[in-house]
Amino acid sequence: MNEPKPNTMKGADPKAYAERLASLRDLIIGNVVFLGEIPASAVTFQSDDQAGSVDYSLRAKFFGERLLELGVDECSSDDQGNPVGIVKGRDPSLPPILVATELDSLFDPAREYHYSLDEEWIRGPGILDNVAGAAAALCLPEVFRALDIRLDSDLLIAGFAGTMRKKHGIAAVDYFLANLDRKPRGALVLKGGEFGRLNYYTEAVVRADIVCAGRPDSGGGGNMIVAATGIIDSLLAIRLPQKPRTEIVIGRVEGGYKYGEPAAAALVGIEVRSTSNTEINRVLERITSLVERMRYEQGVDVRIEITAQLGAASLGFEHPLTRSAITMLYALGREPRIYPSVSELIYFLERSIPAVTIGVANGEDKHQEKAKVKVDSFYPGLAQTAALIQAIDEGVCDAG
Amino acid sequence: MPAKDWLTGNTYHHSAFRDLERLVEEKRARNLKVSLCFPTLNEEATIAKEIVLIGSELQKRFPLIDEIAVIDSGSKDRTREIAAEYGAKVFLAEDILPEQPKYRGKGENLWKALYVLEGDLICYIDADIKNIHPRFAYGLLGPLLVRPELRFVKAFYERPIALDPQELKRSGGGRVTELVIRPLFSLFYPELAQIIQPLSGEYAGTRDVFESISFPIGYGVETSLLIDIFVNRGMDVMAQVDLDRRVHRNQSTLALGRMAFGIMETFFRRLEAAGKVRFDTRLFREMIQFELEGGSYRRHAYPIEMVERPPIRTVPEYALRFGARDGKAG
Repeated sequence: MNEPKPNTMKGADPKAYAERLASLRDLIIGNVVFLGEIPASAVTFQSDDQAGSVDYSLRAKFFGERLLELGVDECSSDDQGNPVGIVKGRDPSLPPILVATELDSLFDPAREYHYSLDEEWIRGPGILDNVAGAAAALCLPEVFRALDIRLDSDLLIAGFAGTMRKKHGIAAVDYFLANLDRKPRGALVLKGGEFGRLNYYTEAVVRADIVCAGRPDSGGGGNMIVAATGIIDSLLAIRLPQKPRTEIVIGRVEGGYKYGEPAAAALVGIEVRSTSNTEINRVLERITSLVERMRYEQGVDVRIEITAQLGAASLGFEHPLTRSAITMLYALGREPRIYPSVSELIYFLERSIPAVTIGVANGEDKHQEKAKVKVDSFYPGLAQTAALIQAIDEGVCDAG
Repeated sequence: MPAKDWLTGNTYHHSAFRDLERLVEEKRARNLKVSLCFPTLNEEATIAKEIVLIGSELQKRFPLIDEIAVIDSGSKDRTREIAAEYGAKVFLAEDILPEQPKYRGKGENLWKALYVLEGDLICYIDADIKNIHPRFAYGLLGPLLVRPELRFVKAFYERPIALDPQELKRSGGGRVTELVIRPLFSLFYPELAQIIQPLSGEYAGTRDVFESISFPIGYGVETSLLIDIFVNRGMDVMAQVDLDRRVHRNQSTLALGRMAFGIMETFFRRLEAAGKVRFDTRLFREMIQFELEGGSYRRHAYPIEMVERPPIRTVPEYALRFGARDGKAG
C-alpha cells in the first residue's frame, strides 16, 4: 500500500505524541491491572434512589469510578449500568465526540485472575480483548493533559459490559446511541489489540445460539450432544458463495454435565458473516430451515435464538476520518491492517455517525490465559487515539 | 479500657481512608515524610507490579508516599534490578550498617530499613502479594494520619467480626494464628487477642515506635512487635484495618510448623522477661519434623536462629543519623 498524503492532520504530530506519552507508563499499567483483575461479571446493585436495582458488571462500576478519579468532569451510567464519563469541551454548542470501549471479558464468569508485570509485558487473561482497550479509554483524560490538548467538543468516554457472550449484549451500544441526547460528530471504538487495525466498514453478521433439548413428547430425544453434532454437520454442508464472501463460524459448543449421563441439552453458537445483506439473509433462512427439519424428523426440540444481527455498512475509504487514521498509522511507523468489523461499529454507521474501530496495543496469545501486551505499544496506540479525537474536534467528520 | 471498646473504636475498613486528598493534606499539615518498605527475597514475579501500582497512585497522582524502598535479603533472581527499573530505592540488607553482624531474615530487613528510610511514618508491605492495590498502603497509613494519637496500625484481610451489629462474619486468622498465637495471647495478653490477624505482614507505624523496640531477625517479628508495642504503650496507640482480600503464596503445614516454633520461642522469651513465666530448663533451638520419604519417615531437624536486633536507636550509627529528631510523629 502506498502511503497516502496527509489530508486532515492540523497540528497533530502522532509520533511526538507517542514519545510524550511514555511518561504515562505507570498510569497505563495501573489501569490495565486494576481493570483486568476485576471480574466483568454482572451483579445486582440497588440503585441509589431505591427505585429499583440494576444488573451491571463490577468492571463497569470500577470503570465509572476510575474515570472520576482520573479527572473527567462528570460521570454517570445509562439505565443498563454502562458508565459514561464526560470531559467538557470549550464550546457547549458543538456536538460531542464519543469513544466507546467494551468492558467485557471472555474469561467470565471469572475465577480470581492476577495480572503480572515484567520489564516489557503485562500478562493476564483477557488483556487484549478488551482490558487494554478499556484501560486506554480510562487514560484519555490524562493523555489530553499530558499532550496539553483542550477540545472544543465534549468528549464522551463510554464503557459497555456484557457485549461478548451475554445474549443481545452488543445491542447495549445500539440502545445507548438511540438514547443519546446529542448525536456525536464522530466516534472511535477502542479495542485492545492490535494497534494498527482499522475497521471502517462492517460485514453483515448474525450471531445465533442453536439450542437442542429433548422433547418430552418424543421420549426425551436421546443425547443432545449427538443432536448438536448433527446440526454441525448440516451447517458444514451448507454451500457458501466466495463472492459475496460469506462464512459460517461455529464458535461455541456447550452440552452435558456428567460423564455417564446422556446430555439433556446442548448448544451450538454460530456467527454468520457476509459482505452482502442479501446473502446473509439467504444463509440464515437455510439454517432456520434445517433447524426446523431436525425438529420434526428427529424429535428434538431445536430452536435458533438470534443474539445479534448486524448489517453491512461502510464509512468509506475516502472519508477524512478513515484517511486520517491511515495517515496517522503511517506517521507512527505502522502499516494499517484494514478488515471489516463484525462488532458494534455498525450501530454508529447506520446512524450516520462517522466512526472507526482502532486497536491501542500489541500483544500475543490474544484469547488465551497467557495473553500479554507490550507496555510500550500503548504509546503509539494512545497517540493515534488522541490525534484522531483531535482531528474529529477539528472537523474531519463535519463535512457532508 | 474494656476489650470491646478498643475493638469498636480502633478497627477500620480501608474504605474509610479512600479520600486520598485528605490524607495528603493531613500529611502536609503535620509536615510528615512517609516511607513504604518492601522486604524482599526472590520476588521478581510480583515486585514490579507492587511498585508501579502503589507508586502511580500514591506518589504520582496523590503524593502520599515520599519514598518506596526495597530491602533485599540477597535475591538470586532479578528482584533488585526490576525494583530499581520501576523507580524504587533498592538496598541490599547486608550493605546496610556493615559494621553490624550479618543475618538474614525478614525481621533483619525491617530493622535495617529503619536506618535507610527517611520517613516519619513507615509502612511495611510484603512483596509477594498478587492482588496488590493502593488500599494496602493508604488503608494502613490513613489511621496514623487522621488520628495522631495512633502509633501502629496492623492489617487484616477478612471481615471476621461484628463491625456491623447486623452482620456476623467468621474469624479470619490462619492456622498458626488460631492454633498458636491467639491461644497464647488469650493466656497471657488477652487484650492482644483482639488483633484479628497478628501474623499479617503488612503494618505501618511511627518511627519512634519502631526505633525503640527490638526485632527478631526471622520468625516472630510480627508477634514481638505487637507484644512490645502493647507493653510499652498500651492498646490505645494501636489500630487494625480490614484490607479485604490478600492473595499470596500458600505455605506448607511443615513450613508453618517451623514458623510456629520461631513464634513460640520469641513469645516465651518475652514472657520470661516480663516475669510472667520462668523456665527451669533451657529451650532447644531445633524444630524436629518428620517427612515420608521412600516409604519411611525421615527425621529433619531445622535449626531456627533466634537472634534479636536491639532497638535501633541504641545503635551508634543510627543515633548519629537520626539523633536530633524534632519529635514529629516519630
